[in-house]
Amino acid sequence: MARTHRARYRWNDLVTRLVTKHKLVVGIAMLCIAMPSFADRQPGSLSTVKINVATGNVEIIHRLHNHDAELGIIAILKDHSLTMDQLVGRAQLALYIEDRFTIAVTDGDEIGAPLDLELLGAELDGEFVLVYQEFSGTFPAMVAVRNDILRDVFPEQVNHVNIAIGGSVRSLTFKDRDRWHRTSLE
Amino acid sequence: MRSQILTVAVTLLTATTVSADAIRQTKSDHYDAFRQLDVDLPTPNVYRTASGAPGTQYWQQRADHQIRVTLNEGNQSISASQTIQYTNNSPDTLRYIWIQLDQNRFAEGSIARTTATTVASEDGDVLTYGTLAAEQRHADVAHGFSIDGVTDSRGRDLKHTIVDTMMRIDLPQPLRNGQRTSFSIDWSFNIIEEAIIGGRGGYDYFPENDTYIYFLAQWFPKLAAYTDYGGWKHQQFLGRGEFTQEFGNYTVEITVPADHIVSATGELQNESAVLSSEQRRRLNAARSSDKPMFIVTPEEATENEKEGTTDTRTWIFKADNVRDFAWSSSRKFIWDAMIHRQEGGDFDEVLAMSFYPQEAEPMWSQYSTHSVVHTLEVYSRFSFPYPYPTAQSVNTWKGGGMEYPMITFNGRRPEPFEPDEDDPDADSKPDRTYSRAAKHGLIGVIIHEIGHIYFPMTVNTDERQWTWMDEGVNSFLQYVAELEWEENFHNHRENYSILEHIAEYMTSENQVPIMTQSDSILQFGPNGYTKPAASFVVLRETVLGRELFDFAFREYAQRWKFKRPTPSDLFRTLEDASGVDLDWFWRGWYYSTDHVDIAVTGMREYKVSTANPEIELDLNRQERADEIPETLGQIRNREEGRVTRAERFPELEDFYNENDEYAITNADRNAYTTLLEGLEDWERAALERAAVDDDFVYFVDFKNVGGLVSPLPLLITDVDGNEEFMMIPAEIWRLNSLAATKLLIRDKPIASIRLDPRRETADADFSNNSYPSRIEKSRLELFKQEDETRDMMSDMLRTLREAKDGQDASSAVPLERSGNQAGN
Repeated sequence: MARTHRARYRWNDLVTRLVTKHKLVVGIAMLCIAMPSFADRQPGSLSTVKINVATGNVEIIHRLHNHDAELGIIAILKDHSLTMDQLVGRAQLALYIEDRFTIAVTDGDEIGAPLDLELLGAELDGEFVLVYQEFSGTFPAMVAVRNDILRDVFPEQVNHVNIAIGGSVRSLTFKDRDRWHRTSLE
Repeated sequence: MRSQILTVAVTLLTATTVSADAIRQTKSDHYDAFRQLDVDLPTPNVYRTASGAPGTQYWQQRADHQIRVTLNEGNQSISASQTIQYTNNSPDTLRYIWIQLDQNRFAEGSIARTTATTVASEDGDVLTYGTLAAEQRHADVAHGFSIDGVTDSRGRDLKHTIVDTMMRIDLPQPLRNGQRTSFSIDWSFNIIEEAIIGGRGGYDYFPENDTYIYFLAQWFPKLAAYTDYGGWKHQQFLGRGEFTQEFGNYTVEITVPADHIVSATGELQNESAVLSSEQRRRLNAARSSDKPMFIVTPEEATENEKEGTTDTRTWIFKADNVRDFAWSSSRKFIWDAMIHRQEGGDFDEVLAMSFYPQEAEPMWSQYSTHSVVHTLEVYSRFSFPYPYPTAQSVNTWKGGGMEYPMITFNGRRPEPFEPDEDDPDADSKPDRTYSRAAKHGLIGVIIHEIGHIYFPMTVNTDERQWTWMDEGVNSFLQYVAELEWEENFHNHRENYSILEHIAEYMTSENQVPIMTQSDSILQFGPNGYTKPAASFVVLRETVLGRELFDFAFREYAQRWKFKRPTPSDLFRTLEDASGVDLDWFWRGWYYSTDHVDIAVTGMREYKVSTANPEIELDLNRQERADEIPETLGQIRNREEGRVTRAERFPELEDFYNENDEYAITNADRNAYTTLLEGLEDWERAALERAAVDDDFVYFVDFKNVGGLVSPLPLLITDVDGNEEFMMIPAEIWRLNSLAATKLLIRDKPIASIRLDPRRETADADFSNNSYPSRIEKSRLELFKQEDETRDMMSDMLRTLREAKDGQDASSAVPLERSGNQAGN
C-alpha cells in the first residue's frame, strides 16, 4: 500500500513542478556528461521498424540502455527523481521519443507529411527500456526518417534505425550533424 | 630512382590486395563457413603459441612507480613528484620511451577538445547548457598537466617532447634487453569537476553542504605499453578507448586534509598515523567479519563533513603487480568492510570495502560490500582466486562506473525524494526510497567494475585496441553473476533479454564485425559489450555446454593472468582446451556481420517401402483412396440407383474390370525377385528390419536465413503430445551453410517441430521456426495484450500530454542571430 501511495505522491509532485516554470539549475550540467558508465560505452539507441504480417501493422520499437534513458530524461526535464523503473519516467521517455523520431513520406527529394505514429508506451526489459509506436496505414514505398533521440543530451549519441519492410533490412545511422535520411523500400 | 620507387609501391599494393583476400571462391557463390581461421590469425611465434598460450620467450615490460602527491583542497588541484623505474624485458633496444599524459585530454588545444563535434538541428544550431557550462569552466580553469621537470636519477634534465596526451623521453643511453632506467617527473594539474567537464576522475561537488568527493584516475604520468604485437601503444587518448598498461609495483604517499578518509589501490601501510584507535579496532574486527562492519559510521561521517581543517595527513599505500593506481578522498565518507575468504591464491583473505557519502544511503551499506564479495566468488570460479589483498567500491558519482586495480568508482544513489507540500503528514526530509532499477543498477555496476579487476586489470588485454576483450568478456561474467545474485534479476528470462536485443542489432546492414578496432567501431555499445557477451552466453549454454566452456575459459584466464593476451590467444585457447573446433563460431560472430536466423522450411513424412508387391500394392491402393476421393458424379449416380452399362451388359467386362491398376502381376513379382537378388545380404536385412520396425521417416528442411551458422535446438512433439528435445550441432551446415536437410526416424508420427524453443541461439526471427508454422506474437503485441499495464500507461501519457501543453521543454540555451551568417 505504502508503495502505491508513494508513487502517486511523487507523480503529483512532478505535475506541480512541470506546470510551474522553474529556473535552469546546475542540473543542466548533466547535459554534456560523458558516459563513464560501464567504462566507455557510447550512448546509442536501436530502433526497429517492422511489418507484422499477422496484423498488417508496422511496429516500431526503440531500444535504449536504461541508464542512457534515465540520465537523458533527467537532463531534459531537469528532474533528478525520474527513473525508468517508474511509470512516469517511462512515459516521459516515450513522449520525448515521440517528439524526436519522425518517419515522413518523400519522393526522394522533398519531405512530405510525417506518418501518424501511435505512441503505445514503454516497458523495461533487463538493462534496456523499450518504447513502442505503431502505424496502421499504408506504408509509403519511400520514406525520410529523422531520429534525434538523446542527441540534444549526448553529443556522442549514435542512433540506429533498422527498417525491415519488404525483402531486406535497411539500416540508417544518425550521428554528428546529420538530419534526414531517405530510403526506398522497394 | 623514381621509377624504382613506383615499381616497389605497385608491387606492395598488388601484394596487399592479394594477401587481403588470398582465398576466394571464384566460381559459384559457395561460402565455407567452416574454413579454418589459421590463415587469418597471426602466425604463432616464440611469444604466442599456436595453442593460444604464452610462448617460451613471452615477455612484457615492467614499470615501478613511486609517487608523493598532495591534494590542495583550496583550489582543487594536485601536485606530485614521482619516480619511475622502467625495465626493458623486450629483445629490442630502446632509445626513447613514451609516457601517457591522460589529463592532457582536457587541456586547451588537445585533440580531444578541438575535434569535439556539436549538435545541429533542422530548427537551427543548438548550444546545450552543458556545453556552455563546460566551455565556461575551461575558460576559467586551465586543465591538463603542468610538467615541471623531467630528470634522470642524478637530477639531470632529460629531453622530453609532449605530443598531445603522450610524452616522449629521449634516453641518454640506449636501453638494452634486461636493462633498467630510472627517472623522475614533477607535475601538477587542476582537477576537473567531473559533472561539468565529463571524464573518468575529478571531483564531485555537493552544493547543499559545500562538500567534495575527490576521485583521481588517469591522474599521473605513466608508461605507455611496449608490446610484441604492436610496438609502442601510443595512440592518443580521445576519451573513448581506454588503457594499454604495464604491470609494476607502486608506493604512493597521498597527503590530504587531516579529516579525510582515503581509499586507494593497494594496502594502507600506516594505519596508526592516519586512523584513530577506535577506527583501527573496528578495521581489525572487520578483518574477521562475514558481514559488512562500519569503520566510519554514518553518524560519524555526518559529523565529520560539517567542518573542515587545514591540517594534513599522509596516507601511504603499497600495491604490487598492478597495472594502474587510483584513489579517492573525502571527509564525507562512510566506510564499511568485510572479509572474503578463498583458497589456492596468493591471498587467503581479501578485505572487501566500500566508501560512500550520506547521499548514497541506505542503498550502499545494504548492497555495496556484499556485491563486491559476490563478484569475487563468481569471477574466481570462472578464472583464478582474486589476486590482490583488497577490493573496494567507492561511490564517487551519481551514475556510471570505472575500474582500477583493487578500487572501483561506482554510481547510483537513491533518488532524492521531494515530499508533497500539500500533504501535512509528509516528512519534510528526503525518505531515501530507491527503485528496483536503482538497486539492480547499483549491484550490476559494482559487479561490472569489480569484475574488471580480473579482466583487464589482471588478464591484461589491450583496451585501446580490443575493447570487446575486456568489456565483452566482463559483461558476460556480469550477466552470469547477476543471475546468481537473485532470480529474475533485471527480469532476465532464459537468456532471452540479452540475446533478443543483440539479435535485432545483428540484422543491421551497416554494422561492422567485432574484430574491427575500437576507434573505428561505429556502434560501440553493441560491438564492445553486448554482442561478444551474447556470443559467450551462446557458447557456454548451447555450443559447448557448461562443463567444456567453463574449463576452457578458466584455462584462458589462468594462462594469461598478469600477461597480455590478444584476440587470437583467446580464440585459440578456447578451442585448444575445449577440444571443439570453434573457427566457424569466431568467423561468424567476430569476423562477420551475419546474424542468426534459422528456419524450418519443410517436412516430408515417409514409411520404408518393403518393395514387396503383395504388401505394397494394397497399401498404395489404400493411400490413393485416402488421398483422392471418389468422383462426386459417380457417388451420386450410385445413390440415384443408376445402373451402368457394364452392369447391364456383363459381356462388356474383361480383365480390367476385375483388376485395377494396383493388382499384382507376374511382372511385379519378377521385378521384386530381381530386386531382392540384386541386394547384398546386409541391405536385404536392413529392408526386412525396417518392415518389422514400421517407423516413420522424415526429411526436415532447414534454412540458414541469417547466414551465421548455428546449432539447431529442436523440440519434436508427436501425435500423442510427447515432447523430445534434440540439439543438432552447427556442423550440420558444413557442406552447405545456407540449407540442410535432416533425416529423422521416429516410431510415432510427428505432429510438430519447433526450432530454438528455449530462445538460446540469438535467432532474430521466430516466425519461421515452426512446422507447421505458427504465429508468434510480436513483442509489441504482447505489450498491447497486457491490458492493465497498457491502460495505466495510456492514462499517464494523456496526463503528461495535458501538463506539457504550453510548456517550454527545450533544453537548449536561447540563441539570437548576430553578425556573420552563412549557410543555414
